[in-house]
Amino acid sequence: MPELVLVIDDSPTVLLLTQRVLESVGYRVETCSNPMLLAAQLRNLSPDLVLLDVEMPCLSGTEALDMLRKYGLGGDTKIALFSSLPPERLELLAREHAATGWIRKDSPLDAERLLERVAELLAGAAAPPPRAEALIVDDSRIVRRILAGIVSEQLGFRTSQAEGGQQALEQLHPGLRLLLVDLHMPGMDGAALVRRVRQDPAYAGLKVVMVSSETDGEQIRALLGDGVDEFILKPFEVEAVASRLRMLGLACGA
Amino acid sequence: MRRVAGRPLSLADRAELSVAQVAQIRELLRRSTGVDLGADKDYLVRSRLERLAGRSSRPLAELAQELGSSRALQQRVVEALLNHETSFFRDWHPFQALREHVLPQLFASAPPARQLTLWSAACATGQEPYSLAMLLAEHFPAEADRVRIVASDVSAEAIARAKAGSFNQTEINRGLPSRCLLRFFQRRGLRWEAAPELRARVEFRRLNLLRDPYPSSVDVLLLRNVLLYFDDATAEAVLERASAALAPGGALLLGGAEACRTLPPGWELERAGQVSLLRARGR
Repeated sequence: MPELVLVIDDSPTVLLLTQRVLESVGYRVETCSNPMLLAAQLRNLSPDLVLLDVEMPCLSGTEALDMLRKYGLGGDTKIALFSSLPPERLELLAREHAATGWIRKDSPLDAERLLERVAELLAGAAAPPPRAEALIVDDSRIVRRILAGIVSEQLGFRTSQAEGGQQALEQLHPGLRLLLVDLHMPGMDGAALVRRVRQDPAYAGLKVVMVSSETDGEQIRALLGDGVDEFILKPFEVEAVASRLRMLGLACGA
Repeated sequence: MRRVAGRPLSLADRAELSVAQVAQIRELLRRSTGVDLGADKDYLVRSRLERLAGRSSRPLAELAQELGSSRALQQRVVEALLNHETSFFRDWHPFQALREHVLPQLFASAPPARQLTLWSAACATGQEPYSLAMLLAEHFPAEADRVRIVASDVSAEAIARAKAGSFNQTEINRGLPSRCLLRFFQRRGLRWEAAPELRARVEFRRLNLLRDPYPSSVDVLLLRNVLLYFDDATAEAVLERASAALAPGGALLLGGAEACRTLPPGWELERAGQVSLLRARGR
């Protein structure tokens, strides 16, 4: 069976042209001009590759990307941003939102280049952008697993875990983008860990989010002053954590 | 056994509402608020009514029978069916767009002496207007005093909760940045209360979008995730009144999924950051 490409774009012209080009070499093609209808469409489809317009009037591509992930795409399905934005901007967007890659929308459409890029993406030759990594530190295994699930499934992170401050220190590396850390832990607690991390200029760009049952305003204020970027109260809802992390500009929906 | 409000359901309680009764209740809701629950939402009507019956410790059948004659009960049923789903800085992008595009433009173009009006037209339990007030205080302190924030909802219960400004931890966790929590809220037991100076910034009122007069000269109207509950004719009528309520150049913000579906003639779609807003043509 030929590979299935789903093209999502608000312009009927772009859809038609892209479809023609792709079908001319034997791909199966489905199109979607209204991302609000995606949910219904995806129920019956499992595309190999999705070409996703980044700038649509009612739903930006990054919102649409979130939606695609919600419907379970992103495992085997490759998702490429499809846009006329400059390449460096596309590269950045694709990285930030953990898309497989991007295809520049030329005007007029360059059929050969399009086919070349689609083939590359489908073959996996276009190396997927490295996913950002989050380190999750909590002495409860269950909490670690829940948080890891949220940041990997909803925000596209790779995750690693540590059960205490000391262990976290050993796992830290400058490639980390997010540190999700509990406050009260046996041994080195979250506050001490954050102070250590913030002393090291290599981690200046690291986002630190504390997730804790501490509700004392003064203590939270002190932690925010000591380098915690955001404080989420336990117990938490999955959606609350995801939305707060998005507000920090982390991964999808930044 | 299932329990409602801590009390086992008797057989009489569980007697189901008839299809006709459910349709009647849907019609009551539509007439009084414009909210049009499709027949596929019958389960919602049934479960909310069951809960209401449980809370008042009365059999469902009795409630249904009395519904035709008691205005007070009608009101309670309508309240029970309304959806108050909301969160602080809900969806984030609209607030980002307000901060980076819409408000700076507004402050730059409006005459300095003019009072500006933001209207959160379906504010549910108040998170949206409080988010607006916090956004102004944090990012536009010099302008905040000339901005009036009006917040309205069709539900009296929701408005009462919004005015009280007291939120539980789940509501706080949803979307409220820690910085804002510490600056604008005080903890009271298990809840967090909006500080008086934040509450003072928002003018709450009960307002039915179908019938009641709208505020006038509105510069930014947030009508998010409302029209999608209305049938097309109602949505159109509300949009027309919204257009008349806007100040010249005023902007209307709908929910993410609504802008495309409902773009009527007379409006222009404008991109602001990651969201779309509507401006009335020729105003």
